[in-house]
Amino acid sequence: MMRRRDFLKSSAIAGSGLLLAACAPQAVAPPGVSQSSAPTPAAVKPAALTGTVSYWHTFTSQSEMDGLAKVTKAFKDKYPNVTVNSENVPNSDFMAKFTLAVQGGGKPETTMISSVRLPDMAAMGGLIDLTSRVATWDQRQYLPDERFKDATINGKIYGVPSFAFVNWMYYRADWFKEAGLTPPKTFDEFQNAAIKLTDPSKNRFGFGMRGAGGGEGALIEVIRSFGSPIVDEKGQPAMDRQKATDALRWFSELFTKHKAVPPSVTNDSFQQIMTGFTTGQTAMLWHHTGSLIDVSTALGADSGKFGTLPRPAGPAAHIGDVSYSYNGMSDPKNADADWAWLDHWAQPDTQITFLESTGYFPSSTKVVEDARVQKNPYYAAAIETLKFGGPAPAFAGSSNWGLTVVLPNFQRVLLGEIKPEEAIENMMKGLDKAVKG
Amino acid sequence: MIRSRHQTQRLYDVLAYGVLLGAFTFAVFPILWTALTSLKANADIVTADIQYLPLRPTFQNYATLWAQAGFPTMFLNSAIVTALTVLVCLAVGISGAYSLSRYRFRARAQLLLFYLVIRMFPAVLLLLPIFIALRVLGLYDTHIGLTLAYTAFLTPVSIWILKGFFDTIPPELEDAARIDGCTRAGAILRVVLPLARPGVAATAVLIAISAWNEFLFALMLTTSQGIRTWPVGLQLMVGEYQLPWGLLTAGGVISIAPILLFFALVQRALVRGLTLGAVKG
Repeated sequence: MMRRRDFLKSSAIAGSGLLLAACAPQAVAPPGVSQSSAPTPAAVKPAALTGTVSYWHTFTSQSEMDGLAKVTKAFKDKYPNVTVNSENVPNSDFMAKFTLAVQGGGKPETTMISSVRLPDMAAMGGLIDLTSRVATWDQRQYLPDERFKDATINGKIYGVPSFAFVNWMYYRADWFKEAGLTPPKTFDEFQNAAIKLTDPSKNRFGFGMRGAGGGEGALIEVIRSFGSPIVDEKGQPAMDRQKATDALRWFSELFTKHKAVPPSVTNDSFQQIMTGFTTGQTAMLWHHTGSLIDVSTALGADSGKFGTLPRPAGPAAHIGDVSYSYNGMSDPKNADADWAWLDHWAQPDTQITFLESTGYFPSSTKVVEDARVQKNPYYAAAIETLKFGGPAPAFAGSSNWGLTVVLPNFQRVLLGEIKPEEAIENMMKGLDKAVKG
Repeated sequence: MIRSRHQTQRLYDVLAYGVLLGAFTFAVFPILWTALTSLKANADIVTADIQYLPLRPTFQNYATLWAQAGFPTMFLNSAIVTALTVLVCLAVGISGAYSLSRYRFRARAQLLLFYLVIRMFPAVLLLLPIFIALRVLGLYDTHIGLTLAYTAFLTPVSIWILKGFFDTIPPELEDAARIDGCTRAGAILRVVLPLARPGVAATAVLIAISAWNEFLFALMLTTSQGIRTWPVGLQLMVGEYQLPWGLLTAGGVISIAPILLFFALVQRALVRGLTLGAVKG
């Protein structure tokens, strides 16, 4: 028979065990401090490298996994004695898992890094300074400085660009031909085409506007296209009230006045606008190169039904955001092999292989000049965008400002609850608060 | 007057059935829609006009999903972890619940409250200590480690549920068994557990459902493909720019199947257990 005292004793022992385990000391670097710098590269022959490389990534789709498998196989062919152990982490849970690994141990040797997450990952001591390796890297000449911008903090480089998402637009080439319209190059031409291609009786709309999650990004690009910056070079609020108001009015009137946008606009996020375009409900779609495989699969790559274009030029500026995905080192136990893996991603053949599998655009200028890219008509728009495009404006809290201030106010304008003037006023106040705290 | 009463009664009946039908449709439609979508070809899923029934029914989504690397293993992993979790939770839960039901000791009420409070913490708060504990014990990325993690937050629930059932069984029955020569353990095995079988079945089903569908711990406490569970596999199919509805719905149907099977096996005991537990304790 279990006695009361025995029961209590057992409970106390079990509780203490958990508490001790929870309080076990772990080496965690203070915020903003990397635990160590990656060793400077040494000339190591491929066959001499041995061991394993762990790699965390957020690839999930079949095309991404196929691309990763090909990239990994090519690496294995080159470095037969090194094995890459890839772990895919759902994109939405990546930061939770990475933070847990930094705090509790178990960081990967190498990891994929999105540009918006890099500052946080570096600040928690989860990334290694790669500046010295990059400085002597033979691929550096094909990666201009601006491609390292989002991966550089206080002069230290924490990631090397592996591929890019180039903002562009898709359009229904067959509908344009049918209506006798030329693909738009300016905002005026874009608006005109959107209106003319709208026919509610056929359930056709000129533009698949993203008015739900993610829609703030397109609006911010339009605001900048009208000549209003978001922040200045010092990262201080710099929005121009009049220009920003004009931009919001022009953009929202595509729905509120011209009815050239599906009525579900405020509920339309990525999946909805993509479905609308691929099922023949919308004539134009703003997204980036990452969705090319999806659109090609749905409409047929050689069907002549769709085409790609750079985003149209605004009245004051031609804006097309380009964001890079990076690879970095987190816990390099096998530094030379880890670096070889990062270097492999920047090699021309690797980038072409990945591009062909996923449509994700190369980061290397050498690859962009490759005939396999230059001759593909769909990529012409991305190549053109790289000439004038660049990173989106970023500051600490920019993502939150976009999601919690810009998007709700944009939606209220679309719903007719407030006027563009009031929405911009709210956005400017929110920006001020986000930047200055 | 009588006729009018009949008419009123009929109106109430119609209304009641209407409400029931509405609730039934609300509950069943998503499952039915998932099953129907899983039988459609990809081209028939995303269309301009909604197609309710599959025009060209196919099991291709199931075949493709099952052929994808790792999915049979993930399914097996889920089954192993769920079975282990049910066993451990029941073993610990039965002893704990029995002790709390039969013994009166200092801070008993506080201990029960403590078990309840643990459930009030978001699971994510328990994650870091459990993560560190498993790493220290060398159980990170193992079936046993995941089972222990699930046990940590499912055992309090099972204790609460089981205690309610044990409270309904008169202690005199055990006393009689002990007078007849049973030990305390013998009385539990031969008298209490057979009487509490509905409660044990209900608890087992609730634990199994929780363990089978759990995602956060399964993702955070595992790292290799050989240990990952089914919900993690399904979530990993959701890409940032791609959403394979056909495969996802096929995966959803497959994930429901084992729970339905388990439910069918313990249904009789479960229904009795649920009604008992609902009013006792």
